[in-house]
Amino acid sequence: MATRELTPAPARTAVPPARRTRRRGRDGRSAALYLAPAAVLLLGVLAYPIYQLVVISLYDYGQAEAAGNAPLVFLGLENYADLLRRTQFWVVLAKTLGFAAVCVVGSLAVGTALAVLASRVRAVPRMLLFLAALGAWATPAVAGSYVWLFLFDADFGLVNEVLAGLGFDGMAGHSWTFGTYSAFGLVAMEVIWCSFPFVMVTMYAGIKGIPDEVVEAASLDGASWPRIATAVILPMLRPLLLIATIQSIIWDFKVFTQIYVMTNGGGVAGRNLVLNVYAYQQAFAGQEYGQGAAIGVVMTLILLSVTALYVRSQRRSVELT
Amino acid sequence: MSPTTTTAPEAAVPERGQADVRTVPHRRRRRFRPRHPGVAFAAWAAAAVFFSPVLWMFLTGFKQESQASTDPPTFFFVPTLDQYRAILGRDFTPYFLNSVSASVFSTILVIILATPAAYALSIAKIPRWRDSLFFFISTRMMPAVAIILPLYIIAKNVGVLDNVTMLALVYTVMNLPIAVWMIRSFLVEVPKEVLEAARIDGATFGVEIRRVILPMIAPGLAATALICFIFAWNEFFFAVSLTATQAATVPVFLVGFITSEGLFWARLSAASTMAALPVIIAGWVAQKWLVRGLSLGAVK
Repeated sequence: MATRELTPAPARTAVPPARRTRRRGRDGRSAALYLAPAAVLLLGVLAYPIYQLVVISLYDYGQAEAAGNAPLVFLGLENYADLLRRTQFWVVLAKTLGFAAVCVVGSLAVGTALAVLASRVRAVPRMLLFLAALGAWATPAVAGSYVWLFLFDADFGLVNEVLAGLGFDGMAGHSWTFGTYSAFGLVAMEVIWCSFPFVMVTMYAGIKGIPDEVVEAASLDGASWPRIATAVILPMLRPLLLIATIQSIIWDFKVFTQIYVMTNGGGVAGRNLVLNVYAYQQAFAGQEYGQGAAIGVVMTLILLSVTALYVRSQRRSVELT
Repeated sequence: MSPTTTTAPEAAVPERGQADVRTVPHRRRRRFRPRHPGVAFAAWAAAAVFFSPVLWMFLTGFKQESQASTDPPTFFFVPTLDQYRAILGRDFTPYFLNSVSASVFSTILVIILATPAAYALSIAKIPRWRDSLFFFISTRMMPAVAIILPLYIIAKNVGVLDNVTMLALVYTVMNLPIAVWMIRSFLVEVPKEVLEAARIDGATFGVEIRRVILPMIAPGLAATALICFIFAWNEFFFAVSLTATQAATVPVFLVGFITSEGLFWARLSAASTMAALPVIIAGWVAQKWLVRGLSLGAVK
């Protein structure tokens, strides 16, 4: 989208004079050069695939066309129109949005709660909390998914055993992956478990970074704890919350491994499909690359607009210095 | 009366707190005490619950296969190293080395590329830096599933399919936006006065970078590197799609276990433990850096 900043020429004139004095002369011009290697690599490895993706989405592109055995048929926007006409697409889209929303809210809530908890206890429990976070973070998504399936296994699982031991007799042999919502819930729990550490570490750092004096001053002025939390601490944490939220949205909207592994590729009859897995199925299992590419483009557009909206809404309240 | 009741816990602290603030102008002196035993209990319980999947995985890895799948689950058993022997006997080492080289190489590359880029977006603000920043973060929106097909075709045509360098490059691109965003947040925190003072003292650009900026953001760089390393280490989708026999990484090895031999929980747990262990160790060693680094860029 924004490639213009790579051209350094108009840089100097756009800078207000007050700022220019603060900056050394050559900075304005060379600054773009610092950005260039990263931007070039990013564009190089992403731009062409993105271009290809859009192109493929405009064609009737299947296995035969990919192998070069059949002539390419240009469909224009037919793949998209076809997609939008399908009920399954809208169902999958709705499920994806719901699933991602639960995961985002869940990991933000869990991560922040644990960060607050960690900031208020002694060294040993705090260390254990961080160890748990580190373990969850370090476990590869594939391994984590299998471990959770194992823990929630109907017969051999630890969870059913514990629940039955606690008096929930009905839970012995209960299958967590059978129902649509139960399966989604299980995957969501695993996803939250994977992503809470990032939120927790970030928010913990933020809480620790708040100067004592600020909180003390507020409490000396007679502010109650809920008031301090909402009026003093929360605004100071907002830039961090912004990062954590954007990251969570990006991750949770694109969940692939967990759904793929835990529901065996989207569940019976695709009950537990999310867009990412749906696109994969269309493209690779169904060998409808054109259709799969169209889903990919739609997904990217949704994510871009969500993030743009969010960044803009935050910009109004927070100056992203 | 009403304000004093709410501030009572803090009112007790100042004697100590104020003395500390005066003598040592250091924030570390703050003591958060659990105001309620429930807080401490909640912390212990939460740690236990959130650690249990990893613990169970770790324990299961030392079981015999017959002990792993029992109803009820087996809690007491004689630990065995059979599963680990079996894994090492299955050529784990090449996968491990592939993972190491792809992760390490991409992490180094990310830091080298992201630091100047972040500098251009923070201290030496280029015009339209907001748009550039959004461009960087927006590349993360692209679902991997969407670009895998074009990427595969390109890699095949160039002849770099199943190649560790190729994988490292993909991971670099994958982590670059996050790294730029993170390092930028650390650079923003470098006080303008410090930079101005250095410039007035006649520091050249190179000296300013090496002697002033880099030492200040070093913890942040370490934290960024660690996060990029973990993401690259755990990445599965690109690895399984772009590699076959030569460049396959540890997560691919894990899946290979599952499909070829059915579900062997004990062996899978042992393999997962081996995959997670380097990251846990690295994270534990670098924990202080991680938290310190993050807090540096965190709150103004």
